[in-house]
Amino acid sequence: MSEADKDWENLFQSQLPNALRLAVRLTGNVHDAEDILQESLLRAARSRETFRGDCTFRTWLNRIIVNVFRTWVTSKPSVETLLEEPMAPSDSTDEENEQQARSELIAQHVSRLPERQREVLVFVTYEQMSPQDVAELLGLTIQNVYSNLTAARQQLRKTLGALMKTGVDQ
Amino acid sequence: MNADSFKQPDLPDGDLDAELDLLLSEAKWPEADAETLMRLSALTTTALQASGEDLAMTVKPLIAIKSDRQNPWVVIAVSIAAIVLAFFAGRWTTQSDRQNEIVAKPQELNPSKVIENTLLPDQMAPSGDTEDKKSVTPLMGDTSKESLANNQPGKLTPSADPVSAKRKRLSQRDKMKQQLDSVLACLEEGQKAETCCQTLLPRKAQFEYLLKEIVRTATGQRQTAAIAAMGFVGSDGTVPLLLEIAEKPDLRITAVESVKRVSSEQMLAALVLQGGDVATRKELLIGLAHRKTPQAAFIWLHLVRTPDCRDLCLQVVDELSPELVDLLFAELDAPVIDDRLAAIQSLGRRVDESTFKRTELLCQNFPHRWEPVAILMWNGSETAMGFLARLQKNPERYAVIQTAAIQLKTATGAGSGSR
Repeated sequence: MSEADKDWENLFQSQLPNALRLAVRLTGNVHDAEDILQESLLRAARSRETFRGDCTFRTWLNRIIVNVFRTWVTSKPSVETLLEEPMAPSDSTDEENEQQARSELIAQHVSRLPERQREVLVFVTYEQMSPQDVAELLGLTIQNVYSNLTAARQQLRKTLGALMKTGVDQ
Repeated sequence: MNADSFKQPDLPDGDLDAELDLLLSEAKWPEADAETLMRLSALTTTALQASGEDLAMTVKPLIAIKSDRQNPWVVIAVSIAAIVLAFFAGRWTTQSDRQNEIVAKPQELNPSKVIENTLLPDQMAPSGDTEDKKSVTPLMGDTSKESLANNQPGKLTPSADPVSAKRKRLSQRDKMKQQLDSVLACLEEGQKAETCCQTLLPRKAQFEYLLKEIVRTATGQRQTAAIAAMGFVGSDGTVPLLLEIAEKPDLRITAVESVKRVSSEQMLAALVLQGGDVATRKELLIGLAHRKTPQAAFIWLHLVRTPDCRDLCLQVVDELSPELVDLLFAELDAPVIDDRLAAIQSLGRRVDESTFKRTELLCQNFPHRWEPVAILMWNGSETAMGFLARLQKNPERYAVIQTAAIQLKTATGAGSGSR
């Protein structure tokens, strides 16, 4: 393997955990995330020469992941987009179990948002990207990013309303 | 999720949104295990090493071993393909058999010959004899079955006295036929298949073949008895024939009963998913519900999760065997939340007192688990709702009840199962 290949490999390997985490957030489960990431890595490896350094490598890889994710969403039956692998119950206390169920539930609702809203919310809220960067990454206008973000949050307010109330009560 | 990976968006929202942000920061997705990361890492290395068109060829085997998790849809699709194949194979065999009855060249495809050879291996000599016989027997002079069989290269040949060997084989076959006749007579008298058919078990495959012929050709009580016996000795391969018979109204009940007995769990699921007559699908689901294996529980949960089958499944939950009920209770701890929800829906629809008592006990022993609460909620009976109302008075249970309600609503679009 040449020095250049080694550099590429280091670059890819350093981004694997982040990429996998993003894919899990988008799909809602590890199994589908792995499928998406495999395809993304293949595409990225094939077209690595097109990475010209005008954005970070992470952004470039994320763009590929989003493209593969969009293809996956259109080809997958809607019933199958439900979460398949939330965390397994651990040997924890009951309070921890309850908290875990709650955390799983919130994640599920995020991963069940409409595709575009989900992308925007995940990038802005969990990948810590600015709306401008998200707009560039997703190929949207900044207004579009904001409107998707607002819609996503409104949807979550509606679906997680009971939990919010619970939070207040507790 | 780590707090440092969560960012509040730059949106000027009110207090409610601060609360939403707090809630979103709690979100926790499943985490990939080290094995997944290693697989992806290996894939990356291989993908980078390979180039151009070779890439796909090099990497595909890696993808193939990606996950050992079985996709239920793949299992079902393969089962359906197997049914279709078995059906056409059955049709083809039938046609071949009929042709063989008419055309005077039965040696190669004659099923009785196959059975005889299977039954009496000790009367056969190694194929080496064939060459010797060839050298002294005029090839065209003898057109008997034995001679033709001997001329098949590489086939087993009869012993030195083919006539007596044939007699013995025929008598063996006659014995089997007599045995079968007595079993059918026993069934015609109205006795149970378990009682009558025990003697057929040591030679299931051979009796299955003989029974197929009887099922196709016989009429009246004898045909009905043969169908019932088929359910006892038959295999998956007899399903197409039995389904064909089930289309006749007078034979439907017996034929469907036999299908339930001979089909594997996957086959039953595939038949249910195939659609068609609701009554038959329900019967097949009952067949699955009576099974006792973890595989049956796995398939049951899959069917409950499938929108087309959910209602039918829930209509027959009271038929679930005690073993399956135990397995469904165990599924309340399943790592896959959809499995938990399917188990909840199944158990919630059961009306027997023992399931209710058991759920009540779970509620008391595990006050912070939402699953038992969801079972009672889905049950929706007066007793269950009364129990939940008492539970709700306890402020500590409020969050658990809310969680159960949201999970059910998310899964089904309804808070409780309306009967």
